[in-house]
Amino acid sequence: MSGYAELQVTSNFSFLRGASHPEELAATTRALGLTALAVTDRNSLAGIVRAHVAAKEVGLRFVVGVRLDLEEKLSLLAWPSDRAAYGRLTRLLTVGQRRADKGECILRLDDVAEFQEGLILALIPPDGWPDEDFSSRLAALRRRFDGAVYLAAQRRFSRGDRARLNRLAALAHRHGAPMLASNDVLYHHPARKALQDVLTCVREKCTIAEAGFRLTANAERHLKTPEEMLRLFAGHEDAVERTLEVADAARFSLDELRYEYPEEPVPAGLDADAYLERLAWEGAAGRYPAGIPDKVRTTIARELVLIKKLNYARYFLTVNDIVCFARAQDEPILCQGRGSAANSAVCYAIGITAVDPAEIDLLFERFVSEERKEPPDIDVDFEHERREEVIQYIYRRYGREKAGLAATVITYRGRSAVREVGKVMGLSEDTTAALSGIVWGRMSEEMSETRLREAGLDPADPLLRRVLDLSAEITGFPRHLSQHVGGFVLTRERLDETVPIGNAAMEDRTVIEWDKDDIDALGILKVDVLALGMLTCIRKCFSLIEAWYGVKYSLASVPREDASVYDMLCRADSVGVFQVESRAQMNMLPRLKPRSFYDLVIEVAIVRPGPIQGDMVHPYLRRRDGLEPEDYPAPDPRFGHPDELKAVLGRTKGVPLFQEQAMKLAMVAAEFTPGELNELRKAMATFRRRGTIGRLEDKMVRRMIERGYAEDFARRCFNQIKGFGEYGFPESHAASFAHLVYVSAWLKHHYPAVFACGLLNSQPMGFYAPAQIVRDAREHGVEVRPPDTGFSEWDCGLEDALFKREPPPPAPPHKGEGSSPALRLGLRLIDGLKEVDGRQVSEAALPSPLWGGAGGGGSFRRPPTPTLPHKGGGSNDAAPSSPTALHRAGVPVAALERLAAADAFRSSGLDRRQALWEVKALSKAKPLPLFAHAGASDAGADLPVTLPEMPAGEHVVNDYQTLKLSLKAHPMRFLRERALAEGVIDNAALKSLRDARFVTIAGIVLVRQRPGSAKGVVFATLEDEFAVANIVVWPKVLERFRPVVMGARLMLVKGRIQRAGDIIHVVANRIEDRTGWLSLLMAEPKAFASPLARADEVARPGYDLRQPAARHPRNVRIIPKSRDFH
Amino acid sequence: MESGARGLILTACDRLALSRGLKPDERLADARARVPDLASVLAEPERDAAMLLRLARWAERWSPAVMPDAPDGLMLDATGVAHLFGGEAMLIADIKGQCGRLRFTARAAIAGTPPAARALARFSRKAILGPGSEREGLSTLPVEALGLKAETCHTLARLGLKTIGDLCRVPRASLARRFRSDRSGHVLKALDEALGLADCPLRPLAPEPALVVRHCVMDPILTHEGIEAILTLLAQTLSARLADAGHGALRVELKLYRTDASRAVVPAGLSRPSRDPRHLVRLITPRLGEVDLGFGVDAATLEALATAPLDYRQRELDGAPPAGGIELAALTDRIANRPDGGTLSRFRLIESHLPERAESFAAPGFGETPQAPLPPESGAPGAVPARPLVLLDHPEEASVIAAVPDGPPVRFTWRRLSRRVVRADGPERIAPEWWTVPPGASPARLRDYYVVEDEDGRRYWLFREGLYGEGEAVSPRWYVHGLFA
Repeated sequence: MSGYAELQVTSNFSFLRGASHPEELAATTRALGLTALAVTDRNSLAGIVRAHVAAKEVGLRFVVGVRLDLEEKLSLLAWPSDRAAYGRLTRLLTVGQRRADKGECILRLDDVAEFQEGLILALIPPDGWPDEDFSSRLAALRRRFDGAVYLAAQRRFSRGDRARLNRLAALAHRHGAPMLASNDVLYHHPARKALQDVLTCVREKCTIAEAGFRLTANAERHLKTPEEMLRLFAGHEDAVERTLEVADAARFSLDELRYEYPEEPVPAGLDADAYLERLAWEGAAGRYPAGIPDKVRTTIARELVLIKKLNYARYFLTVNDIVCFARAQDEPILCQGRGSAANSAVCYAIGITAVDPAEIDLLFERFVSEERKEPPDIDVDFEHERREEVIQYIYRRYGREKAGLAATVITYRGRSAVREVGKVMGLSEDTTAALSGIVWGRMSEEMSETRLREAGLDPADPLLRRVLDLSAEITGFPRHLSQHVGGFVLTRERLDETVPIGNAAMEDRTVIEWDKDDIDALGILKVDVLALGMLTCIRKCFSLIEAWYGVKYSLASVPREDASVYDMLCRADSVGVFQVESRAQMNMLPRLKPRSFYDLVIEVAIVRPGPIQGDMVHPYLRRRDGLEPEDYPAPDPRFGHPDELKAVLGRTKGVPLFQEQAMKLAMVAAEFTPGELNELRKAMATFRRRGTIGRLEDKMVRRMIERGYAEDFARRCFNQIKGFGEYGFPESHAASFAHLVYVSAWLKHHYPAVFACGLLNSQPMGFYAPAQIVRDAREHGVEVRPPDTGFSEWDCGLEDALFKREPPPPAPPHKGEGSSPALRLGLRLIDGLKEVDGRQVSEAALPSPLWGGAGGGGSFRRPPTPTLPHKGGGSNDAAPSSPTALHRAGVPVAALERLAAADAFRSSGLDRRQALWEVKALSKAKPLPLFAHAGASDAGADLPVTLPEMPAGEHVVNDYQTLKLSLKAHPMRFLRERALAEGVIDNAALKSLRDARFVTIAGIVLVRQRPGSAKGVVFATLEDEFAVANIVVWPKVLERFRPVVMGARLMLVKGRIQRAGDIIHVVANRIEDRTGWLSLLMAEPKAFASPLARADEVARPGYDLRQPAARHPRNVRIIPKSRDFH
Repeated sequence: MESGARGLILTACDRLALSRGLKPDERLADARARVPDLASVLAEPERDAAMLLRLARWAERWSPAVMPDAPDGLMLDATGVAHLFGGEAMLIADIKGQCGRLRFTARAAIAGTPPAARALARFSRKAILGPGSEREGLSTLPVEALGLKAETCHTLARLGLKTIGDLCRVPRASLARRFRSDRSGHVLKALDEALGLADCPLRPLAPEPALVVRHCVMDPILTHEGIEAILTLLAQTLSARLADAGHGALRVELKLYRTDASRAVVPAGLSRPSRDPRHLVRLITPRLGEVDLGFGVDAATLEALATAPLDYRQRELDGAPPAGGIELAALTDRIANRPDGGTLSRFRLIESHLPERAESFAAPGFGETPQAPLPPESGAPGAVPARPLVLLDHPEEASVIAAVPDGPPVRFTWRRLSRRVVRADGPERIAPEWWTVPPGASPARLRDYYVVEDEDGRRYWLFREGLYGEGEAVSPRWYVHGLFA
C-alpha cells in the first residue's frame, strides 16, 4: 500500500494563520494525487463544510478534524471516527467556546478526556527539540486516553531535522503512540508564503520588517505529493503509510448529518401534518368569513398534499409558532413572512403572510420544487424595535442546545484588505488612507493608474503595486465570524451535537460556527427572524388610526387595489413609502405606472442592480407600453414545446426580472439538472469560484444551441443570469415587499398626518431624514406644529386641528381632506436631548393623556392650557411647561438649554432667545425644596434685560441647528432677493419651462449620490423654499467643480433642463459654492437697541465676516450636512 | 491631520488648501473627495509645542517677558520696551518683519491688557489700542475674541450677544448669574480681564537654566596643569547645576579664551547621561594636550550642550559608583573620546533568518536596542550551535558533490583544498526575504544550509543557492558561509 493522506491542514478559517481557502486545498490535494485531506483548524469547525463540499466536487475523500490548542500549552489533532464521536467533538468545542469570549475557545485536557470517546487523537510536538518533559507528557497522555493516540511528526527543513525525527520515532516507540507523518500545511501552494507572512504580521500587529522570527524561515508548509512525503520521511516510511490507516479509521462524513425538524410546536398526540391541516382550514375560515373561495380551497388542498409529501409540515409549524408568539403579545408585534414557501395559500391561511392568494396568482409549486431536496425558505420580518423579544423567545422555547443563530463570515473587502496590508507593508497611515479611499467596494483589476494618480500616489511605486497585489489576494479571506442578521437554526436533537455553538458579541446571543451557505449545503432548517423598520412604522400608524378614528386595521385588512393609491404612486409621490422612495424608484414609478398589485411586485424587483446591469429594464418598459412585441424564442420543435419560454417569462412580458425566472430559464432552455442548477446558483452567489462560472456558461450556451436557440440569445440569457447572481431579487420576496409598499402607500394617501407621525417615531429608518418627511407632509396639507414643552411628548403625536377641547368623536375613515389632525412634532427631534430628559419633561409638563395610542405608537392630545402660544410678554411661570416649573420638577438645566435652543418654550410665552436667557439664570444645582416656591435665588433678584429680537433668518438657522429642519421658513426665502440678483429662478418654476432651456437655480444640498453603476456621474438634490430640484453632474463638469460639488452646502447651478416625462433634471454646466450666503442669515440687522447705543456705532459695520481667524466650524455649519451616498 | 473618532481629521490647512475650500476639523476622506491631490501629513502637536517654545525664546529679543499662548500665539510684555524699537508701531513692524524672515505669517497688536491685545491681533485689523480705551476699541469685535469656549460663544450668539460691546451693555449681575460656572467659561471674568477691570498677569517663561559655567583668572595660565585645575573647578560647578536640573550631560564643550582674543574648543560626547565631575574631567583631559595655549588663557567656560534627564543615584557605601553598567559606559566614553577616537562599535542583532542580515555594527551610544533572540533552536541538546562561530563576510563559492535534490555535500573543494565529508546535517532551508526584493526583479533563490564535518574534524557551514530541478536556467551554486571550529 502506498499513498499519503494529509491530516494536519490549517485553512484560512483559522483566522490569520492559514493562507488558502478550503476549496483551494481540496482541489490541490486532488491534483497532487493524495488519498485524503483533513482540515484541522484551530478549535474550530468553521471551514469544514466548505472543504467537504469542495472535496465532494472533485471526488476526494475528506476527513473532518480539528486542532485542539489546550490551556496546558498542548496541541492535539482530533478526527472523529463516527457520527457519535463527531457529536462529542462539537460538544467539546461548544463547551470551550461558551466559556470564552466571542471568537475565543478555552479548553483543557480534562475537557478532552470527557468527550474523547471515538476521537482519534495525535499529539503535536513542540517546534524545538522534543525533550524529556515532552516525553513524559506523551506518556501521560497515552495513559489517560484509551483510544488511539498518535504522535504527529513534521519535516520543517530546519536544523537537526533528521535527529529530531529519529528522536520522535524513538519516543513514539517507547510510549506506544505510533508516529504519523504530516506536513502541518498552511497553504496549498508555496507561492502563498508571502500572503501567509502578511497574515502573521496582521495577527502579531507588526510590520513585515519587524516581524523577524515570527515568520517561518521557508515556504515548505504547502501540500506535497505522496512521493515527496516518502522521500522526506526516508527511514520512517511507516509514518507516511500510517496516515492512510488513520484516514480510514476517521470514517465520519458530514453527509451523515441527518437533519430533523424540531418537535416542539406539535401538540402531543397529534401528527404534524394533521395539525397543520387543522390550522390551515381553521385559519382559512377566519380569513374568509364569507366562505372560502373555491380557488383558494383547491390551492390549500393541493399545497397540503405537497407539504405532506415533502415532509415540510413541522417547518411551517415552527414558523407559525414564532409568529403566534409575536401576535400574542399584549401589544402584538407586527410581522410578515416572505421567501419561497411564504407565498402559499397555507401561509396566508395560518397568518404568516398577508398576501391574499385569491387576488394574485402565486403558485406555491413555483417556489418549492420537488426535485430540490432543500428545506423551504420562509423569512419573517418583525418590527425593528421589538425583534429582540422574538429572538429571546426562541432561545427560551427551544433552549440554547437546540437553537442558535447562523454565523456570517466577514471577509476582507477592498478597503479593509488595503488597510491591513498597507499597515503590514509599512505604508504611512495617510498613504494607506488615500489608497483605501480609492478602492470602492470590491477590488477591480482596472484600479487604473489615473485613480492612483488622482489620489496623489505614484502608480509606478513597486511597494504600492505589491500592496495592491497582496490586497487582491487577501480579498475574500475570512477575518472573523459574525452573527447572521437573524437566521435561526433549530433542531430536534441537540444542535451542539451537529455544530459547535459559541457566544456572540451581543449579550444573550449564541451563534453556530456555520454560515448560511454551509447550512444550505447540509440541508439544515433555518428561519430568518429579521428586523424591518417599516413594520414598526405601520404598526404605529395602525395604533394611531385606531385611537384617532376608531378603526382597526391589520396588514391583511387594509382595503385592496385602491385606485387612488396607485394614482399617487404613478405621480412618484412616494416619500416615505416602503422600498419605492429612493431617487431611482421615483424615476421608475411614472414610467412603469403601477395599476395593480403585481405591478408593484415588478416595481420592487426591477430597480435592482441585477435587472439594471442585465439591461432588462428598458425592454420590459417598451413591451409594457406596447412599443415592442413580446417575443419568445422557441427551441427546435424536435426538442421541446415552442411555448416553453412563454411559460417561464410570460408574466414579465418575456423579460426575466426575478431570480427564480433566471433559474427556470437554465432549467427549461438548457435542461440543467437540479444538481447543475444548484451549482449554478452557488457559482453565481459567490465569486470565490471564478473558475466554475465560465465552465457553466459554456455548458449552458452549448446546450441551448443544441436545442435550437440562437447563440446570441443564449449568451444574453446567461449574462442575465450572471447579473442576477449577486443582486437578483426573488419574486417571492418581492411579493411580500410589494404588500408593504401598498400598505404604506395606502396609509400615506389616506392618513398623511398619521403616516408622517409613524415615520418620525420609527426613525432612524428609510431613505429620508425627518426634514424631508415633514416637508412632504406639509405639501400634503398636514399642519405641522413645532416641538413645544407645552404640547409635545417625546414621540410625535396628533392634535386636533382646531385645538378643540373635546376629544373628537370616533369617525369613519375619511379620505384625507377636511378635518385632518395636525402633526405635533415630538421632543425626540431635538438634537442632543436625551430620551430620559425628554420623557421627564412631558411627564412634568403635561397631564396624563385622556386617551391615546397604546404605548409608543405616538399619541395625541388637546392642549393642557387654554392659552394659545403668544408672542412677547413675560414668562408664564404658572404654566407647568415653563422653564422654571420644569426646573423645579427636576429636569436638568442642560436639557432645558437644549429645549430653549430648539425654541420649545413658545407656549410659555418665551421665544428662543428669552427662554435661553431664563434657563441660563437657573441654578445648575437642584433647587432646595425650601426655596423652590419662593422664586428667589441665591444671586438675588434678576434685573430685567431687553434682548434684541432675533431676526427671522436667524431663527431659521437656529431651527436647523437644533432640529435639522425649520417650520418657520426655508433659509432660501431670506436669500431670495440676493438670488434674484444673480438670475436664479425658483425650483418650482422648472416645471413650467421647456426642455433644454438654460437656467440658474440655487438651493440647499440635500443628497449627493454617486452610484457605482453610473460611470462617475454625480446626482444631487437642491432644495429651496418652493421645491426640490434634481441635478446631474457629468464627470467632465465634476472634474472642474469637484470641490464645490462635493463640499458645498448651498449651491448655485447653471445648466440645461432635461425633461423625460414628469421627471425634470438640470444638467449642470457650472456650479458655484454659495455656502457663504448662509452666514449672512446670522448677522443682526441692527445693533442693540439700548440707550447706550450711539449713532456712530450703529453706522459702523459689524465685525468682518470674511475674517478667517479662529471661528469654530460649528458656527459655520449652519445647515446639517447633506446625506452622501457613494 | 490626526486620527479621531471619525477617522483622519484635518487639523490645519495651508493657504493653498484654504483657497481650495478646505477647512480644519474636516474628515480627510471628505477633503480628498473634493481635492484629490491633497497632500497631507500627520499632526505632531508635541513638535508644534516645542516649536512654539523655541519661537518664544527667540522672541525674547524684543521683551524679557514672553509667554507662549498655545497653540499658535505669543504674548510679549511690551512695557517699557517699545521705545527701544522706535515706538509701538515700529515694534510691530519689526516683529512682523522678523517673523516673515522665518517664513511665519504674523499678526501682531499692542493693547493695555493681554486679552485685549490678543483679541485685536486675532480679530481686528487694528494693531494698537491705547491703555484705557479697551471698552471702546473692542466693542465691535465678536465675543469669540475673548477666547471663550466655542460652546459659550454659540450660546451668547443665540442670546443676541454677539459683540463685546453687546456684552458690556448687559448688567453685570445678570451676566454673572448666567455665566458663572466653568463650563460657560467665565464670561464676566474674561470680559473684565480684557477691559482691564481685573488683573491678568502674564506668566512669562522662566529664564533658561544656564548650563554654562565660567571661570576667569587674573594672570593668564600657560600650563596644561593649570587648565586642568580650572577644568576640575568648572566640572564641579557644572555638575551641581546639572544636579539642580535633574539632568546629566550628553555633550559638553570646554572653551578656552586666550589673551589674544582667540579661543580653543574641546568637545566631548557621552554614551549615557552623566554629571559625575570626575568622569567629565577624565573625558576632556586627554584631549587638552593638543590645545595650543598661545600667550595664555585668562577665561574658560564649560557648557553642557545636550542633556537628558538623570535620576540621582546613590553611590555604593565603599564610594564605588552605583551598579548598572555605569563603569562600562564610562569606559566606552573614555575610549570613544580619545584623541584618535571613533574606534568603537558594537554588535546589534536583528531578527532575520538570513545569517548575514542578522547582525550589524552600530556606534556605541544611545538607542541601544534590546538583543534580538536567536532563531528557535531545534537541535538536540549538545549538538552544534545553530550559527557558526565565524561567519565569512562574503560567502565563498565552493565546488561540491552532493545528492540531488537536496542531499548534503559528500565532497567539496574550497580555497583549493578538497575535503571529504564524513558527517553532515541539513538542509536548513531559508527562503529569501521577499519583501526586500522589488516586485518584478528576479527573486532571490532560497538557500539550503548544511553543517558538515570533514575527515580532520573541522566543521563548515555550506549552503546551496537554489534547488536542483527547479527548471531554472542557472543551476544551483554552492558556497561556504562560516566555520564552526
